[in-house]
Amino acid sequence: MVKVVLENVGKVFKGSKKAKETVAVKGFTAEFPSNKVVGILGPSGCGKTTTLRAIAGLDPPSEGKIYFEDKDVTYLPPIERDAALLFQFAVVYDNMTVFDNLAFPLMVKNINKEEINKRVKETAEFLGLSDILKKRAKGLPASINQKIALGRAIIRKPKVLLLDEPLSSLDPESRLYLRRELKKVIRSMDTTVVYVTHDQSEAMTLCDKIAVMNEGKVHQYDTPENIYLNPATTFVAWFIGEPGMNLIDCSMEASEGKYYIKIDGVSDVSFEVSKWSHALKESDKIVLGIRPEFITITKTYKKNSIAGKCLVIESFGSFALLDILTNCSPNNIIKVKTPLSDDLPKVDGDVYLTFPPAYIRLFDKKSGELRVVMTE
Amino acid sequence: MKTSAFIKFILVTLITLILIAYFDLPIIVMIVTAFKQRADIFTPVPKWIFTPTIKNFVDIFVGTTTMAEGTLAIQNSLFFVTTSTVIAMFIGSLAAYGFSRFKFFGREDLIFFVLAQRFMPGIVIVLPMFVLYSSVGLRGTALGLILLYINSALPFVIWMMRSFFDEIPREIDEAARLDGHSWFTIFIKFVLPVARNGFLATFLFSFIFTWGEFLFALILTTPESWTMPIAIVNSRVSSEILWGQIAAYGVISIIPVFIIAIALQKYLVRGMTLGAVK
Amino acid sequence: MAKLVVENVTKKYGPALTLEKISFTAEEGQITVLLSPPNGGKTGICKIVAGLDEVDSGKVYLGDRDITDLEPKERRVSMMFQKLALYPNMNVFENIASPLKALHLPPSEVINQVEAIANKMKISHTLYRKPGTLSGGERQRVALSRALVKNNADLYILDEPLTNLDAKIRASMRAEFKILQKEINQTMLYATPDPIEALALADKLIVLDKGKIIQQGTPEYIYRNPINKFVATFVGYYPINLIEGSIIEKGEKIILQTNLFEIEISKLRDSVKDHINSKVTLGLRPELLNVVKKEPKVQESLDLFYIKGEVFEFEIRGSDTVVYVKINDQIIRVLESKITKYDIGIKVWLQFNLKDIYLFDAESGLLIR
Repeated sequence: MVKVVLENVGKVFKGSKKAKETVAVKGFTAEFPSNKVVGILGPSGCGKTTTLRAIAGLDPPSEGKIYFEDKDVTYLPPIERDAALLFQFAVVYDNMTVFDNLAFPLMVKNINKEEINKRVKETAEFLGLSDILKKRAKGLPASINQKIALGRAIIRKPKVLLLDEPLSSLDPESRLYLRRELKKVIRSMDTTVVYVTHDQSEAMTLCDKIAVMNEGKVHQYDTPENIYLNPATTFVAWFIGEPGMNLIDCSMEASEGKYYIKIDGVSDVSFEVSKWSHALKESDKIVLGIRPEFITITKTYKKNSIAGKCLVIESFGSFALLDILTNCSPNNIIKVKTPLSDDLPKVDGDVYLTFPPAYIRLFDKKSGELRVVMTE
Repeated sequence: MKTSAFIKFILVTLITLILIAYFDLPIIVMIVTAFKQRADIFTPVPKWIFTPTIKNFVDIFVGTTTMAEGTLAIQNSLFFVTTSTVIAMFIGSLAAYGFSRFKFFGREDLIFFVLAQRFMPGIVIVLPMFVLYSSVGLRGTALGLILLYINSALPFVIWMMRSFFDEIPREIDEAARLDGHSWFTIFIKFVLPVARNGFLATFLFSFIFTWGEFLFALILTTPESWTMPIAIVNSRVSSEILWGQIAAYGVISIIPVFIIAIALQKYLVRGMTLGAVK
Repeated sequence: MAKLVVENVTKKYGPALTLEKISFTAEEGQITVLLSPPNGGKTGICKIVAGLDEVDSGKVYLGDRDITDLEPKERRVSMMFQKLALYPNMNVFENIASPLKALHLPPSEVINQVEAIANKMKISHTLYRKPGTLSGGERQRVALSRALVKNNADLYILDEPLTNLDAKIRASMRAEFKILQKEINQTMLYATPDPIEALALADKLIVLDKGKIIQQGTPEYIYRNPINKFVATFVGYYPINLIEGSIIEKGEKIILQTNLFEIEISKLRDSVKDHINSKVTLGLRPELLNVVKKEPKVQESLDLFYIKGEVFEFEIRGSDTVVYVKINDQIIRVLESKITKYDIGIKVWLQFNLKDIYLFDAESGLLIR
């Protein structure tokens, strides 16, 4: 029952003659609630592993504080934190048996033999390792190794469990099974879990809350639903989703006391935004974001729709992904995801795209921040 | 936390100093000796404070009393070693490129045979070489020694350069071939520049080996073609060995190697192929 | 621009791979995609066509020329490598200019052409930088520019041009590439291990495995009529579900019997009549399955089947959900094109349509229907 609090955590790797000084993480402030799974998600090099290592105590941060509940652990060595860390590549002692591997963290703590026996049996039972306890760890498949490593992490019942891409080195099949084990562990244990990954599907599936990072900065810390529906920045909008949000330049215009958003390069398409105009007034340029799956596509002209030409159709059985060439900027291709039907346009055919206002999100172009969530 | 870091610093510094002393003391002694007068060299306890002199250097270049002639030896060494190393690098790199890129029957056996040349101690062939060179009139000639040095540097050059070429992705050559360039252009303009660090490192090592070569020079040269190592041996008169002059020769013979090593130092760091292939 | 004909090409690449009697045609102005799992032989074919590797036997024709024994530079082909093979010692300009310099074009001409392609590929700002300082996406564009700058080539070979990019950028490069292809309108041979990329880009798709051509045709045709289990599993958005079973006759009815369920397939009588009483494998594409949470009423129609199972696991992928439904110890993947969350272990019904099922001969793996 420990919540993890990060207060303005930053990490700077000092420069040398050859390497420039790099800021790996800056200003990470968040509270990871106890007994919840929090994901740290971002592309490689975004600072997520650095943050995790700081929480684990492997590399202390260069600024800011880390608390476990009320205790300042910023400079405590790992062993005094009661946190366990599971790496991407399973660390398993090859020359020991599975039993010894599991018992190792307990032996270090001078716990008596009977207790060790009991705990190892319990853990092995829980993870389905009972049959191979006496086997040497050498030569076991990667998925079993990762299970052993997981077992070793949870056997001392840590207050905080830190996972660094534990599934990404496994094949899809074992990933599926191990993810189930992980869920089981997470739900049945009295522990706060921090899960670092670059794979959004893992984060969306497993986590209660996700911190999306890019270039050392936390862009959004929210529930998976909110991250998907209301991304806080254009980066999150682009990063989350497969494919991500379409981001289109537009500007606000006033006429007859009302305010409209007009898409740059496209005439006669506008959305009324009078209700939110105060939020947009300071923006020089505005970016309109809409997910490919919320765009309506038709072959005939509809009012307030964007004309385009269908470039590529990737059909996937029950739905299709279309790349539509339009006059929008900065990227003139708009991606559309739509259920398969006989009404689908042909390649090179003319199409019209309609954006349902309820799904439109407006961002400030310069800062990339979300300004308006439009509603009906 | 702070104090332990300080102790660590002191320890590291101390160990470094000891290592430097261990490796460099002979060189320091040599340099110091080169600037000593005869009387100071032979003190029972080494003298660290003395009146420096350049007499030893003057002696080896002008007015030497020994058989060795400093100016000539330096000229000889520089000429033989530079010429042979440059030629060996050129021939060796081409051969290595062939070994790296073309598959042909017996390739691996051939490259092993080339390397096997290095397995044999030089003393084994020095006598036959003496007889051979004497009979064809190559003994004591510049050409004779250069040919011999090329021959002894080649296996090393081929072996080293081949491993450097092997590290360069074949796709670089293939891309250049498709661009329409000839094999020779590909080698000179596309492959060699990428292997630059390896090339320069090989050049440096090869130069150093040849520069310090003693055995063949001893047997196959005449006083007109003596190189530095041989001049050193001959720095004596009937009554004594001239340690001061030997030290002065030593100092001078370090200089070219030292200059080349400093000049090439930044290229000796790997990392040139970074970015070629991802 | 010319048509490429590869005829009976055989080539042994060590013990692991031999290209066997490869024959195909890449039509003028089209993208022909070679699709295979890693080490399936596609790179070998690219290199043989480019002239970098020699054939053991067989012929390669480009237009009306027999190019089998020609040197690469005499073939009028251009190639982009999977490893990109940018020249690290030269800047971007020199890299792209390399094929033009080999043609001994006047310098002003070289500058014009390089600048034109750099503009088109949006890399003008990198022209005087070394490849080592570029991002992955930029390097990819430089390599592509170098392959395309030579405008007199008859054939452009692209060996896994997008493989090294990260998934996010790769998806957007696909569309860009398609536009580019339309613009330059050249014959292209494109190798990729990614079935989604292949389905999206190909005019003609050639599926290879272990050095042999397994099937060739348009992407739609191959997706709908995979010749065997391998193609059905490999060519698709997500691996197909395979269920072992057999076809039996019960009176008038024809029944497909598996460990998981029995369904009536009398309507398919014509296609399965030779396989009655023999073992078959049922293939169900995850994207053609549905999960229903409420118990269906009576069988609504003969063509729609409902199979009871439980949710074993689910995962959200972008804006889709993959649901793993467990039926009698076998796990069936279902792809839903929306985000849905499930409670693990709840009862659900798998729904599929008779017209969407694939049947394979269990032994030979060949498609029955």
